[in-house]
Amino acid sequence: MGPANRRRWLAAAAGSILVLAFAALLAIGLTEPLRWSTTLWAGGFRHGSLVQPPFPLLSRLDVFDVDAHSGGNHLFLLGSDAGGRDLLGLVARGAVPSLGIVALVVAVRLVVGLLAGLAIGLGSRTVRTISRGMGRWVVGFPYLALAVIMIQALGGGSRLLAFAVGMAVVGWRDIAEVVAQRIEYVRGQPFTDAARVLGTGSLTFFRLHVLPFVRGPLAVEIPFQASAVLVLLAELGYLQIYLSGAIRLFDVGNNGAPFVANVLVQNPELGELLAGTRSYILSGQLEPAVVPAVAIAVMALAFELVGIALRGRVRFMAP
Amino acid sequence: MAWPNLGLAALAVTLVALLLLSWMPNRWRGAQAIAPFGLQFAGIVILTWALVGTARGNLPPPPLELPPTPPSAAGIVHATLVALGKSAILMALATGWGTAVGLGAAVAMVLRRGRYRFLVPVATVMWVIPTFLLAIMVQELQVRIYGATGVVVTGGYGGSTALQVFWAALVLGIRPAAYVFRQVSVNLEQEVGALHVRTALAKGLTWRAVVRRHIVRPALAGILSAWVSSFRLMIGSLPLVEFFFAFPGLGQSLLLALGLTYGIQGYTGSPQPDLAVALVVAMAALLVIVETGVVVAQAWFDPRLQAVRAEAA
Repeated sequence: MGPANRRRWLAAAAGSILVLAFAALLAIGLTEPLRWSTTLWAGGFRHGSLVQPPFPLLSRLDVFDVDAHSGGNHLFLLGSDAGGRDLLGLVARGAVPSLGIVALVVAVRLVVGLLAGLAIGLGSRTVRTISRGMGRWVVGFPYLALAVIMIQALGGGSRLLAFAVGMAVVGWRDIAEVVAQRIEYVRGQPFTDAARVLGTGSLTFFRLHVLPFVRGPLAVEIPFQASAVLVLLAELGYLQIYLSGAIRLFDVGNNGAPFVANVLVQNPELGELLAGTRSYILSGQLEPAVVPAVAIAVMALAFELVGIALRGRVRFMAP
Repeated sequence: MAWPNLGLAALAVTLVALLLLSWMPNRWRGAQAIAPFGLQFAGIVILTWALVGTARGNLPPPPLELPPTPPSAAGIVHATLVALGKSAILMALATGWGTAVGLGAAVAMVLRRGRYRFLVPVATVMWVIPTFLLAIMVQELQVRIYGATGVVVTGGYGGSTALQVFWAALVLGIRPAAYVFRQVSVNLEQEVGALHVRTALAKGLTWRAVVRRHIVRPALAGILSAWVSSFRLMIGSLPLVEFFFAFPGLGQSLLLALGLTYGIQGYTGSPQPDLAVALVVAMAALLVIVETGVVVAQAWFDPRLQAVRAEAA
């Protein structure tokens, strides 16, 4: 087995292990009763000492809610957030809608990128110039600022649609370039001239001669795009841009005036769990910030490794 | 401010320059290579103005006191230039160390004939780690240094001290360094397989000389292309890093001008659409200048590109 093949198999193995490990963690988190990740716990007792949230990693506590009713004993495997909600449960329940949003955004990017790539690869010179020009406008924007502005601009209607469009706008160009390059390669092949001479229709030509060359690179792009979208989702969540509503926890400052000490997002997806990162860091409580961030990084790495493994396979099988 | 007018003016200047230079064959190719950047700048100004204007109606009311009267045009220009200056220092440091490390690691891997191949998975992991997680790790490192030595190394928060710039540049430069390493190592490996490299080795040149003259030099155009992509990435991450460290540069000012808020503990952004457009225009202008410089440098390093571009035109 050559070194390139070996690297490909290593990447595939590492990616698969990460996916399986994450799936196992999700399964454990999803089997927990819902109340541990939705109810706000005011505090807990460990060996007779009172502990306030966020609870640390691997802590087993007798918790009580804001009305001082006992909630029972629970092992917080990955700790809790500032509201005492189990982070393992939150991450597990947040991963499902996150992956849904990622799938939606990647699908939109694929559609837009494919259409733009077709326009660049097959279109007239004018269409190609306009398509490339639009791509240049997008690439000249700081991607995060563009996503924020697009989501705010479209936020008057459906929030999910605003997210899908805002996040898709910043990434379709890579797909368009890949599709355009493959189409331009096919157009330069002798069989293209032969097909034209034989009178092959455009749709038939696309199905028989273009699609097989485009499928492989697109399949490689999907995991890379998924990785990028997941990280973008996390960055937006950190900047307090998220889909769901939020609970604000207040504290009293030195001057006696109340201020917002923390933000707890309701039914959060993974990126939204990072909305309170800044306050956790300022308070020196890193687990509630690090746990969801590491979960996202692990998932993004798994997607990236799968993409690397697929890229090696596509190159191996390329004509 | 008349942002549409500025965008249209940039468009008009670019088109007029193209028209005039079309009469000069010697300058025409260069004009064709640079004109897209003028159009890019014009498009970004108009697009930003349109989007920010649309977004203004959808923003929620700020949770704290209303902002003071919107600043004048001179105030916006002053605020933009001050933020641009601070961000320019930060980006110069970040791109400097990121490029040096990424390029150096890639060249070292080629020099040692693949002995440093372990850097490839390291670069992959660094590339995938979200920027804010890197920032959290840096903050944890600061805490541990303080715990071990008693020395405060944070550089404060919300200011632009030397230490603050250092830490922000460290975080900002990590992903571009990983990107430059990955792209440059691919470019260099392609050159290593070239016939002229085998010829040079067969002639008896040392490996070090071959790498310097026949591998790195021909790959410089590709290296510059990788560098400009990493610079674009860095500008993309700039708002997040500056927001994290509360560094008063272009990125943080932009997010606050878009009405984003820290949401907690007092500091709130207030929507200032004109300032937001000005800050985006400043970032876009910076990117356009850098990209134009790279296009010129690429043609100088690799004369074959001039012929390819002329043919494409």
